[in-house]
Amino acid sequence: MISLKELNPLQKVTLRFVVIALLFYGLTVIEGMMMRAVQVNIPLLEAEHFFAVLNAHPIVGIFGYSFMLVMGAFYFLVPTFTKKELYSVFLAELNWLVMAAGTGIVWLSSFIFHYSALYTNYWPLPVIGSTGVSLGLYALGILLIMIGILIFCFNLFATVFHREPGDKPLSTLIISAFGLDGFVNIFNRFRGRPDKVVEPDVPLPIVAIFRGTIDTVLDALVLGSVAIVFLVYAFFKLKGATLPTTWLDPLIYKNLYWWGLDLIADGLVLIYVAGTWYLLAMIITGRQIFMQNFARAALFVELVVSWFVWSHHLLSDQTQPVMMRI
Amino acid sequence: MNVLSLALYLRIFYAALVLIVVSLMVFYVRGLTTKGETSGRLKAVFYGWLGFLVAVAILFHLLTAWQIPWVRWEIKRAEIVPNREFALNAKQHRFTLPAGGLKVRQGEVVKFKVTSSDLTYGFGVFHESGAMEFQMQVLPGHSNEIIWIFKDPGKYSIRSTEYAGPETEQMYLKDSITVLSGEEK
Repeated sequence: MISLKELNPLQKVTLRFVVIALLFYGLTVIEGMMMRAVQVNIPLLEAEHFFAVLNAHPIVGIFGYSFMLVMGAFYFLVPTFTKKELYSVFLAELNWLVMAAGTGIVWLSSFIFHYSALYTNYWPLPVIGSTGVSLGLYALGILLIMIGILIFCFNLFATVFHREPGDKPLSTLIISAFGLDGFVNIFNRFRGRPDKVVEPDVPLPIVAIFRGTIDTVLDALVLGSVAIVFLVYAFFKLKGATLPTTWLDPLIYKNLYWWGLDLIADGLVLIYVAGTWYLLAMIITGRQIFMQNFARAALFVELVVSWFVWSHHLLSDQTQPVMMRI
Repeated sequence: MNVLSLALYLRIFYAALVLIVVSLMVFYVRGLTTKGETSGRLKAVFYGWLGFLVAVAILFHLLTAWQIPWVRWEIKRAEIVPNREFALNAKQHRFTLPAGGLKVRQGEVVKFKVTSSDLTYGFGVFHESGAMEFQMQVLPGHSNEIIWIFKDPGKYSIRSTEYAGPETEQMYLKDSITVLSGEEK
Protein backbone atom coordinates (compact mmCIF):
# COMPACT_ATOMS: atom_id res chain seq x y z
CA MET A 1 0.00 0.00 0.00
CA ILE A 2 1.42 3.37 -1.00
CA SER A 3 1.21 6.05 1.64
CA LEU A 4 0.63 9.59 0.36
CA LYS A 5 3.23 10.79 2.87
CA GLU A 6 5.92 8.77 1.09
CA LEU A 7 5.31 10.45 -2.27
CA ASN A 8 7.70 13.13 -3.42
CA PRO A 9 6.30 16.54 -4.56
CA LEU A 10 6.50 15.56 -8.26
CA GLN A 11 4.55 12.35 -7.68
CA LYS A 12 1.95 14.22 -5.63
CA VAL A 13 1.30 16.94 -8.20
CA THR A 14 1.15 14.35 -10.99
CA LEU A 15 -1.48 12.36 -9.11
CA ARG A 16 -3.46 15.54 -8.40
CA PHE A 17 -3.67 16.23 -12.14
CA VAL A 18 -4.82 12.69 -12.82
CA VAL A 19 -7.45 12.63 -10.07
CA ILE A 20 -8.93 16.03 -11.03
CA ALA A 21 -8.89 15.01 -14.71
CA LEU A 22 -10.82 11.84 -13.91
CA LEU A 23 -13.39 13.83 -11.94
CA PHE A 24 -13.94 16.06 -14.98
CA TYR A 25 -14.12 12.94 -17.14
CA GLY A 26 -16.92 11.65 -14.92
CA LEU A 27 -18.69 14.96 -15.39
CA THR A 28 -18.47 14.78 -19.18
CA VAL A 29 -19.79 11.21 -19.09
CA ILE A 30 -22.85 12.35 -17.14
CA GLU A 31 -23.36 15.27 -19.54
CA GLY A 32 -23.04 12.92 -22.49
CA MET A 33 -25.66 10.59 -21.04
CA MET A 34 -28.02 13.49 -20.33
CA MET A 35 -27.75 14.69 -23.93
CA ARG A 36 -28.19 11.15 -25.18
CA ALA A 37 -31.35 10.84 -23.09
CA VAL A 38 -32.76 13.96 -24.79
CA GLN A 39 -32.07 12.38 -28.19
CA VAL A 40 -34.32 9.45 -27.28
CA ASN A 41 -37.06 11.75 -25.93
CA ILE A 42 -36.37 11.38 -22.20
CA PRO A 43 -36.96 14.95 -20.99
CA LEU A 44 -33.88 15.41 -18.80
CA LEU A 45 -32.97 18.78 -20.27
CA GLU A 46 -35.03 21.67 -21.60
CA ALA A 47 -34.27 22.69 -25.19
CA GLU A 48 -32.29 25.76 -24.11
CA HIS A 49 -30.41 23.80 -21.46
CA PHE A 50 -29.52 21.09 -23.99
CA PHE A 51 -27.48 23.51 -26.10
CA ALA A 52 -25.84 24.93 -22.98
CA VAL A 53 -24.71 21.43 -21.95
CA LEU A 54 -23.59 20.85 -25.51
CA ASN A 55 -21.38 23.91 -25.04
CA ALA A 56 -19.86 22.85 -21.70
CA HIS A 57 -19.31 19.22 -22.69
CA PRO A 58 -16.35 19.60 -25.11
CA ILE A 59 -14.66 22.29 -23.00
CA VAL A 60 -14.75 20.12 -19.88
CA GLY A 61 -13.71 17.07 -21.91
CA ILE A 62 -10.81 18.73 -23.73
CA PHE A 63 -9.36 21.01 -21.06
CA GLY A 64 -10.59 19.43 -17.83
CA TYR A 65 -9.93 15.84 -18.81
CA SER A 66 -7.57 15.43 -21.80
CA PHE A 67 -5.30 18.42 -21.20
CA MET A 68 -4.99 17.81 -17.45
CA LEU A 69 -4.31 14.13 -17.93
CA VAL A 70 -1.57 14.91 -20.46
CA MET A 71 -0.15 17.69 -18.29
CA GLY A 72 0.09 15.41 -15.25
CA ALA A 73 1.82 12.71 -17.28
CA PHE A 74 4.35 15.08 -18.87
CA TYR A 75 5.11 16.85 -15.59
CA PHE A 76 6.37 13.47 -14.42
CA LEU A 77 7.83 12.06 -17.65
CA VAL A 78 9.84 15.05 -18.88
CA PRO A 79 11.98 15.52 -15.74
CA THR A 80 12.34 11.75 -15.33
CA PHE A 81 13.40 11.17 -18.92
CA THR A 82 15.71 14.20 -19.20
CA LYS A 83 17.19 13.36 -15.76
CA LYS A 84 16.55 16.94 -14.62
CA GLU A 85 14.53 18.46 -11.79
CA LEU A 86 11.15 19.92 -12.74
CA TYR A 87 11.75 23.67 -13.03
CA SER A 88 9.04 24.56 -10.51
CA VAL A 89 6.77 22.25 -8.50
CA PHE A 90 5.05 25.39 -7.14
CA LEU A 91 4.05 26.41 -10.68
CA ALA A 92 2.81 22.87 -11.34
CA GLU A 93 0.63 23.06 -8.21
CA LEU A 94 -0.65 26.48 -9.31
CA ASN A 95 -1.23 25.01 -12.77
CA TRP A 96 -3.74 22.34 -11.73
CA LEU A 97 -5.56 24.82 -9.51
CA VAL A 98 -5.94 27.37 -12.33
CA MET A 99 -6.98 24.70 -14.85
CA ALA A 100 -9.53 23.17 -12.47
CA ALA A 101 -10.95 26.60 -11.53
CA GLY A 102 -11.16 27.67 -15.19
CA THR A 103 -12.88 24.48 -16.31
CA GLY A 104 -15.29 24.64 -13.37
CA ILE A 105 -16.21 28.25 -14.18
CA VAL A 106 -16.83 27.42 -17.87
CA TRP A 107 -19.04 24.53 -16.77
CA LEU A 108 -20.91 26.91 -14.47
CA SER A 109 -21.40 29.48 -17.26
CA SER A 110 -23.16 26.89 -19.39
CA PHE A 111 -24.80 24.48 -16.99
CA ILE A 112 -26.22 27.14 -14.67
CA PHE A 113 -26.19 30.37 -16.72
CA HIS A 114 -26.93 28.85 -20.15
CA TYR A 115 -24.01 30.16 -22.22
CA SER A 116 -24.62 28.31 -25.48
CA ALA A 117 -22.47 29.68 -28.31
CA LEU A 118 -20.74 26.29 -28.59
CA TYR A 119 -16.97 25.85 -28.86
CA THR A 120 -17.24 27.18 -32.43
CA ASN A 121 -18.00 30.70 -31.07
CA TYR A 122 -18.77 32.21 -34.48
CA TRP A 123 -18.72 35.98 -34.29
CA PRO A 124 -20.93 37.68 -33.16
CA LEU A 125 -23.08 34.91 -31.62
CA PRO A 126 -21.26 34.87 -28.24
CA VAL A 127 -21.84 38.58 -27.58
CA ILE A 128 -25.36 38.78 -29.09
CA GLY A 129 -26.85 35.51 -27.91
CA SER A 130 -25.57 35.53 -24.29
CA THR A 131 -26.31 37.37 -21.09
CA GLY A 132 -23.53 39.49 -19.58
CA VAL A 133 -23.10 37.08 -16.66
CA SER A 134 -22.86 33.91 -18.78
CA LEU A 135 -20.51 35.53 -21.31
CA GLY A 136 -18.32 36.99 -18.56
CA LEU A 137 -18.07 33.70 -16.69
CA TYR A 138 -17.32 31.74 -19.86
CA ALA A 139 -14.61 34.21 -20.88
CA LEU A 140 -13.08 34.22 -17.39
CA GLY A 141 -13.02 30.41 -17.34
CA ILE A 142 -11.40 30.17 -20.78
CA LEU A 143 -8.84 32.83 -19.84
CA LEU A 144 -7.88 30.91 -16.67
CA ILE A 145 -7.54 27.69 -18.67
CA MET A 146 -5.27 29.41 -21.19
CA ILE A 147 -3.15 30.89 -18.39
CA GLY A 148 -2.86 27.36 -16.98
CA ILE A 149 -1.73 26.04 -20.37
CA LEU A 150 0.90 28.79 -20.65
CA ILE A 151 2.18 27.97 -17.14
CA PHE A 152 2.50 24.32 -18.19
CA CYS A 153 4.39 25.16 -21.36
CA PHE A 154 6.71 27.58 -19.55
CA ASN A 155 7.46 24.99 -16.87
CA LEU A 156 8.27 22.33 -19.48
CA PHE A 157 10.39 24.68 -21.62
CA ALA A 158 12.30 25.80 -18.52
CA THR A 159 12.89 22.16 -17.52
CA VAL A 160 14.05 20.99 -20.97
CA PHE A 161 16.37 23.97 -21.50
CA HIS A 162 17.73 24.15 -17.96
CA ARG A 163 21.54 23.89 -18.02
CA GLU A 164 24.17 23.27 -15.41
CA PRO A 165 27.65 24.81 -15.70
CA GLY A 166 29.59 22.84 -18.29
CA ASP A 167 26.47 21.73 -20.21
CA LYS A 168 26.17 22.29 -23.95
CA PRO A 169 25.06 25.77 -25.12
CA LEU A 170 21.37 26.63 -25.35
CA SER A 171 21.51 26.88 -29.14
CA THR A 172 22.52 23.19 -29.36
CA LEU A 173 19.62 22.19 -27.14
CA ILE A 174 17.16 24.25 -29.21
CA ILE A 175 18.40 22.74 -32.50
CA SER A 176 17.98 19.29 -31.02
CA ALA A 177 14.56 20.08 -29.47
CA PHE A 178 13.25 21.12 -32.90
CA GLY A 179 14.53 17.84 -34.43
CA LEU A 180 16.85 19.73 -36.78
CA ASP A 181 19.74 17.38 -35.92
CA GLY A 182 17.73 14.69 -37.72
CA PHE A 183 17.94 16.77 -40.92
CA VAL A 184 21.70 17.15 -40.49
CA ASN A 185 22.19 13.39 -40.16
CA ILE A 186 19.97 12.60 -43.16
CA PHE A 187 21.88 15.15 -45.26
CA ASN A 188 25.18 13.60 -44.22
CA ARG A 189 24.00 10.09 -45.09
CA PHE A 190 22.99 11.25 -48.58
CA ARG A 191 26.55 12.50 -48.99
CA GLY A 192 27.91 9.17 -47.73
CA ARG A 193 29.21 10.62 -44.48
CA PRO A 194 28.66 9.33 -40.92
CA ASP A 195 26.06 10.86 -38.61
CA LYS A 196 27.14 14.21 -37.18
CA VAL A 197 24.92 13.81 -34.11
CA VAL A 198 25.27 10.29 -32.69
CA GLU A 199 23.78 10.99 -29.25
CA PRO A 200 21.04 13.68 -29.64
CA ASP A 201 20.99 16.24 -26.84
CA VAL A 202 17.21 16.01 -26.52
CA PRO A 203 15.64 12.51 -26.67
CA LEU A 204 13.05 11.85 -29.39
CA PRO A 205 9.99 11.66 -27.07
CA ILE A 206 10.94 15.03 -25.58
CA VAL A 207 11.31 16.48 -29.10
CA ALA A 208 7.72 15.36 -29.78
CA ILE A 209 6.45 16.82 -26.50
CA PHE A 210 8.33 20.09 -27.09
CA ARG A 211 7.03 20.33 -30.64
CA GLY A 212 3.41 19.68 -29.48
CA THR A 213 3.86 22.33 -26.83
CA ILE A 214 4.66 25.00 -29.44
CA ASP A 215 1.24 24.49 -31.05
CA THR A 216 -0.32 24.46 -27.59
CA VAL A 217 1.22 27.88 -26.78
CA LEU A 218 -0.05 29.37 -30.05
CA ASP A 219 -3.48 27.90 -29.39
CA ALA A 220 -3.54 29.36 -25.85
CA LEU A 221 -2.54 32.81 -27.13
CA VAL A 222 -5.34 32.87 -29.73
CA LEU A 223 -8.09 31.49 -27.47
CA GLY A 224 -6.90 33.65 -24.57
CA SER A 225 -7.08 36.78 -26.75
CA VAL A 226 -10.62 35.89 -27.83
CA ALA A 227 -11.56 35.42 -24.15
CA ILE A 228 -10.26 38.92 -23.38
CA VAL A 229 -12.44 40.35 -26.18
CA PHE A 230 -15.46 38.51 -24.71
CA LEU A 231 -14.64 39.88 -21.25
CA VAL A 232 -14.67 43.45 -22.57
CA TYR A 233 -18.08 42.93 -24.24
CA ALA A 234 -19.43 41.21 -21.09
CA PHE A 235 -18.21 44.07 -18.90
CA PHE A 236 -20.08 46.66 -20.95
CA LYS A 237 -23.11 44.38 -21.20
CA LEU A 238 -23.27 44.14 -17.42
CA LYS A 239 -23.11 47.95 -17.26
CA GLY A 240 -26.11 48.11 -19.60
CA ALA A 241 -24.17 49.30 -22.67
CA THR A 242 -24.00 47.39 -25.95
CA LEU A 243 -20.78 47.56 -27.91
CA PRO A 244 -21.12 47.36 -31.71
CA THR A 245 -20.35 43.91 -33.13
CA THR A 246 -18.94 45.49 -36.29
CA TRP A 247 -15.69 46.21 -34.46
CA LEU A 248 -14.56 42.73 -35.47
CA ASP A 249 -14.82 41.34 -38.99
CA PRO A 250 -16.45 37.87 -38.75
CA LEU A 251 -14.20 36.47 -41.48
CA ILE A 252 -10.88 37.62 -40.01
CA TYR A 253 -12.08 36.56 -36.54
CA LYS A 254 -13.05 33.13 -37.83
CA ASN A 255 -9.75 32.61 -39.62
CA LEU A 256 -7.75 33.48 -36.51
CA TYR A 257 -10.01 31.58 -34.09
CA TRP A 258 -10.04 28.37 -36.11
CA TRP A 259 -6.34 28.61 -36.78
CA GLY A 260 -5.80 28.51 -33.00
CA LEU A 261 -8.50 25.95 -32.29
CA ASP A 262 -7.21 23.44 -34.84
CA LEU A 263 -3.80 23.48 -33.21
CA ILE A 264 -5.35 21.69 -30.22
CA ALA A 265 -6.06 18.67 -32.39
CA ASP A 266 -2.57 18.66 -33.80
CA GLY A 267 -0.50 19.63 -30.77
CA LEU A 268 -2.41 17.78 -28.12
CA VAL A 269 -3.94 14.77 -29.78
CA LEU A 270 -1.55 13.85 -32.57
CA ILE A 271 1.92 14.85 -31.45
CA TYR A 272 1.56 14.31 -27.69
CA VAL A 273 0.28 10.80 -28.35
CA ALA A 274 3.19 10.20 -30.77
CA GLY A 275 5.62 11.45 -28.11
CA THR A 276 4.12 9.17 -25.48
CA TRP A 277 4.43 6.16 -27.75
CA TYR A 278 7.98 6.98 -28.80
CA LEU A 279 8.73 7.02 -25.08
CA LEU A 280 6.94 3.76 -24.34
CA ALA A 281 8.53 2.00 -27.32
CA MET A 282 11.99 3.04 -26.14
CA ILE A 283 11.31 1.95 -22.55
CA ILE A 284 9.73 -1.37 -23.56
CA THR A 285 12.38 -2.38 -26.12
CA GLY A 286 15.35 -0.70 -24.45
CA ARG A 287 16.43 0.50 -27.91
CA GLN A 288 16.48 3.73 -29.86
CA ILE A 289 13.52 4.34 -32.18
CA PHE A 290 14.04 2.90 -35.66
CA MET A 291 14.63 5.59 -38.34
CA GLN A 292 15.10 8.11 -35.54
CA ASN A 293 16.61 10.75 -37.83
CA PHE A 294 13.53 10.68 -40.05
CA ALA A 295 11.25 10.77 -37.01
CA ARG A 296 13.07 13.83 -35.62
CA ALA A 297 13.07 15.63 -38.96
CA ALA A 298 9.41 14.72 -39.54
CA LEU A 299 8.41 16.33 -36.25
CA PHE A 300 9.81 19.67 -37.45
CA VAL A 301 8.15 19.34 -40.86
CA GLU A 302 4.88 18.44 -39.16
CA LEU A 303 5.15 21.54 -36.96
CA VAL A 304 5.15 23.76 -40.04
CA VAL A 305 2.43 21.69 -41.75
CA SER A 306 0.21 21.91 -38.64
CA TRP A 307 -0.07 25.68 -39.08
CA PHE A 308 -1.94 25.08 -42.35
CA VAL A 309 -4.29 22.30 -41.16
CA TRP A 310 -6.98 24.86 -40.36
CA SER A 311 -7.15 25.80 -44.05
CA HIS A 312 -9.89 23.20 -44.71
CA HIS A 313 -12.26 25.63 -42.97
CA LEU A 314 -11.68 28.07 -45.82
CA LEU A 315 -13.56 25.78 -48.20
CA SER A 316 -16.98 26.78 -46.90
CA ASP A 317 -16.32 30.52 -46.99
CA GLN A 318 -17.12 32.00 -50.37
CA THR A 319 -15.98 35.41 -49.18
CA GLN A 320 -12.39 34.34 -48.57
CA PRO A 321 -9.89 35.89 -50.98
CA VAL A 322 -9.40 33.55 -53.94
CA MET A 323 -5.71 32.98 -53.19
CA MET A 324 -6.59 31.72 -49.68
CA ARG A 325 -9.12 29.24 -51.06
CA ILE A 326 -6.94 27.90 -53.83
CA MET B 1 -22.12 -3.31 -64.32
CA ASN B 2 -24.81 -2.44 -61.78
CA VAL B 3 -24.19 -0.36 -58.64
CA LEU B 4 -24.23 -3.34 -56.28
CA SER B 5 -21.56 -5.30 -58.10
CA LEU B 6 -19.41 -2.15 -58.43
CA ALA B 7 -19.58 -1.66 -54.65
CA LEU B 8 -18.66 -5.32 -54.15
CA TYR B 9 -15.68 -5.08 -56.53
CA LEU B 10 -14.51 -1.95 -54.76
CA ARG B 11 -14.67 -3.65 -51.37
CA ILE B 12 -12.70 -6.61 -52.67
CA PHE B 13 -10.17 -4.21 -54.20
CA TYR B 14 -9.75 -2.24 -50.95
CA ALA B 15 -9.54 -5.43 -48.86
CA ALA B 16 -6.84 -6.79 -51.19
CA LEU B 17 -4.95 -3.50 -51.05
CA VAL B 18 -5.00 -3.45 -47.24
CA LEU B 19 -3.87 -7.09 -47.10
CA ILE B 20 -0.95 -6.35 -49.42
CA VAL B 21 0.11 -3.36 -47.30
CA VAL B 22 -0.16 -5.28 -44.03
CA SER B 23 1.70 -8.26 -45.53
CA LEU B 24 4.53 -6.02 -46.70
CA MET B 25 4.81 -4.43 -43.27
CA VAL B 26 4.77 -7.81 -41.50
CA PHE B 27 7.33 -9.17 -43.97
CA TYR B 28 9.58 -6.19 -43.37
CA VAL B 29 9.24 -6.02 -39.59
CA ARG B 30 9.76 -9.77 -39.25
CA GLY B 31 12.95 -9.57 -41.25
CA LEU B 32 14.08 -6.64 -39.17
CA THR B 33 13.39 -8.17 -35.77
CA THR B 34 14.40 -11.80 -36.27
CA LYS B 35 17.83 -11.24 -37.81
CA GLY B 36 18.65 -7.97 -36.08
CA GLU B 37 19.61 -6.37 -39.38
CA THR B 38 17.91 -5.57 -42.66
CA SER B 39 18.79 -7.05 -46.03
CA GLY B 40 19.01 -4.86 -49.12
CA ARG B 41 16.08 -6.76 -50.65
CA LEU B 42 13.80 -5.91 -47.72
CA LYS B 43 14.91 -2.30 -47.77
CA ALA B 44 14.08 -2.08 -51.48
CA VAL B 45 10.57 -3.41 -50.85
CA PHE B 46 9.98 -1.07 -47.93
CA TYR B 47 11.34 2.12 -49.44
CA GLY B 48 9.83 1.23 -52.82
CA TRP B 49 6.43 1.00 -51.19
CA LEU B 50 6.88 4.32 -49.37
CA GLY B 51 7.98 5.97 -52.63
CA PHE B 52 4.98 4.50 -54.44
CA LEU B 53 2.58 5.89 -51.79
CA VAL B 54 4.13 9.36 -52.00
CA ALA B 55 3.99 9.35 -55.81
CA VAL B 56 0.37 8.14 -55.86
CA ALA B 57 -0.69 10.74 -53.27
CA ILE B 58 0.88 13.63 -55.19
CA LEU B 59 -0.41 12.43 -58.57
CA PHE B 60 -3.90 11.81 -57.20
CA HIS B 61 -4.15 15.36 -55.85
CA LEU B 62 -2.80 16.91 -59.02
CA LEU B 63 -5.08 14.90 -61.32
CA THR B 64 -8.25 15.47 -59.28
CA ALA B 65 -7.72 19.12 -58.30
CA TRP B 66 -9.50 20.36 -61.43
CA GLN B 67 -12.46 18.03 -60.86
CA ILE B 68 -13.54 19.83 -57.67
CA PRO B 69 -16.25 22.25 -58.90
CA TRP B 70 -15.27 25.28 -56.83
CA VAL B 71 -11.68 25.21 -58.04
CA ARG B 72 -12.71 25.68 -61.67
CA TRP B 73 -15.49 28.13 -60.81
CA GLU B 74 -13.40 30.16 -58.43
CA ILE B 75 -10.67 30.68 -60.99
CA LYS B 76 -13.17 31.67 -63.65
CA ARG B 77 -15.59 33.42 -61.31
CA ALA B 78 -15.14 36.86 -62.88
CA GLU B 79 -15.83 35.49 -66.37
CA ILE B 80 -18.95 33.48 -65.51
CA VAL B 81 -22.23 35.19 -66.39
CA PRO B 82 -25.08 33.44 -64.52
CA ASN B 83 -28.39 32.66 -66.25
CA ARG B 84 -30.21 33.49 -63.05
CA GLU B 85 -29.35 35.36 -59.87
CA PHE B 86 -31.10 35.27 -56.49
CA ALA B 87 -30.59 37.48 -53.44
CA LEU B 88 -31.53 36.14 -50.00
CA ASN B 89 -31.20 37.55 -46.51
CA ALA B 90 -30.98 35.92 -43.11
CA LYS B 91 -31.99 37.76 -39.95
CA GLN B 92 -33.12 36.65 -36.49
CA HIS B 93 -32.91 33.00 -37.51
CA ARG B 94 -35.11 33.41 -40.59
CA PHE B 95 -34.35 33.35 -44.30
CA THR B 96 -36.11 35.91 -46.50
CA LEU B 97 -36.51 34.59 -50.06
CA PRO B 98 -36.88 36.82 -53.14
CA ALA B 99 -40.41 37.65 -54.25
CA GLY B 100 -41.51 35.03 -56.77
CA GLY B 101 -39.64 32.21 -55.03
CA LEU B 102 -36.68 30.26 -56.29
CA LYS B 103 -37.37 28.55 -59.62
CA VAL B 104 -34.53 27.47 -61.92
CA ARG B 105 -34.06 25.21 -64.88
CA GLN B 106 -31.89 22.14 -64.91
CA GLY B 107 -28.42 22.95 -66.26
CA GLU B 108 -28.70 26.71 -65.74
CA VAL B 109 -25.88 28.63 -64.12
CA VAL B 110 -27.38 30.07 -60.93
CA LYS B 111 -25.81 32.56 -58.58
CA PHE B 112 -27.01 32.82 -54.96
CA LYS B 113 -26.12 36.01 -53.08
CA VAL B 114 -26.86 35.56 -49.40
CA THR B 115 -26.43 38.22 -46.73
CA SER B 116 -26.89 38.17 -42.97
CA SER B 117 -28.08 41.11 -40.89
CA ASP B 118 -26.95 39.75 -37.53
CA LEU B 119 -25.22 36.38 -36.98
CA THR B 120 -23.02 33.94 -38.86
CA TYR B 121 -25.33 31.40 -40.52
CA GLY B 122 -24.98 28.62 -43.08
CA PHE B 123 -26.75 28.35 -46.42
CA GLY B 124 -27.20 24.69 -47.30
CA VAL B 125 -29.29 23.32 -50.17
CA PHE B 126 -30.52 19.75 -49.84
CA HIS B 127 -31.91 17.26 -52.35
CA GLU B 128 -35.24 15.51 -51.72
CA SER B 129 -33.27 12.42 -50.69
CA GLY B 130 -31.71 14.41 -47.85
CA ALA B 131 -28.28 14.55 -49.52
CA MET B 132 -26.58 17.94 -49.44
CA GLU B 133 -26.22 19.62 -52.82
CA PHE B 134 -23.95 22.43 -51.61
CA GLN B 135 -23.44 24.80 -48.71
CA MET B 136 -21.57 27.94 -47.77
CA GLN B 137 -21.16 30.09 -44.71
CA VAL B 138 -23.11 33.33 -44.49
CA LEU B 139 -21.07 35.95 -42.69
CA PRO B 140 -22.56 39.30 -41.64
CA GLY B 141 -20.97 42.31 -43.30
CA HIS B 142 -20.07 40.29 -46.42
CA SER B 143 -21.88 39.39 -49.63
CA ASN B 144 -21.65 35.60 -49.68
CA GLU B 145 -21.97 34.30 -53.22
CA ILE B 146 -21.98 30.84 -54.71
CA ILE B 147 -22.46 29.69 -58.30
CA TRP B 148 -24.18 26.39 -58.90
CA ILE B 149 -25.60 24.24 -61.71
CA PHE B 150 -28.42 21.90 -60.67
CA LYS B 151 -28.03 18.65 -62.59
CA ASP B 152 -31.24 16.97 -61.37
CA PRO B 153 -34.79 18.38 -61.54
CA GLY B 154 -36.94 18.31 -58.40
CA LYS B 155 -37.62 20.12 -55.16
CA TYR B 156 -34.74 21.28 -52.98
CA SER B 157 -34.81 22.48 -49.36
CA ILE B 158 -32.79 25.18 -47.64
CA ARG B 159 -31.34 24.74 -44.17
CA SER B 160 -28.84 26.75 -42.15
CA THR B 161 -25.76 24.56 -41.90
CA GLU B 162 -23.98 26.55 -39.21
CA TYR B 163 -24.74 26.66 -35.51
CA ALA B 164 -26.12 30.07 -34.59
CA GLY B 165 -27.65 29.33 -31.20
CA PRO B 166 -30.51 27.05 -30.08
CA GLU B 167 -32.90 28.70 -32.57
CA THR B 168 -30.88 27.48 -35.56
CA GLU B 169 -33.02 24.37 -36.01
CA GLN B 170 -36.00 26.50 -37.09
CA MET B 171 -34.05 27.72 -40.15
CA TYR B 172 -35.46 25.10 -42.51
CA LEU B 173 -37.42 25.88 -45.67
CA LYS B 174 -38.75 22.66 -47.14
CA ASP B 175 -39.02 22.36 -50.94
CA SER B 176 -38.22 26.06 -51.37
CA ILE B 177 -36.23 25.65 -54.60
CA THR B 178 -37.87 24.17 -57.69
CA VAL B 179 -35.61 22.85 -60.44
CA LEU B 180 -37.47 22.23 -63.70
CA SER B 181 -36.26 19.68 -66.21
CA GLY B 182 -35.26 20.80 -69.71
CA GLU B 183 -38.71 20.05 -71.19
CA GLU B 184 -40.90 21.35 -68.33
CA LYS B 185 -42.65 24.72 -68.66
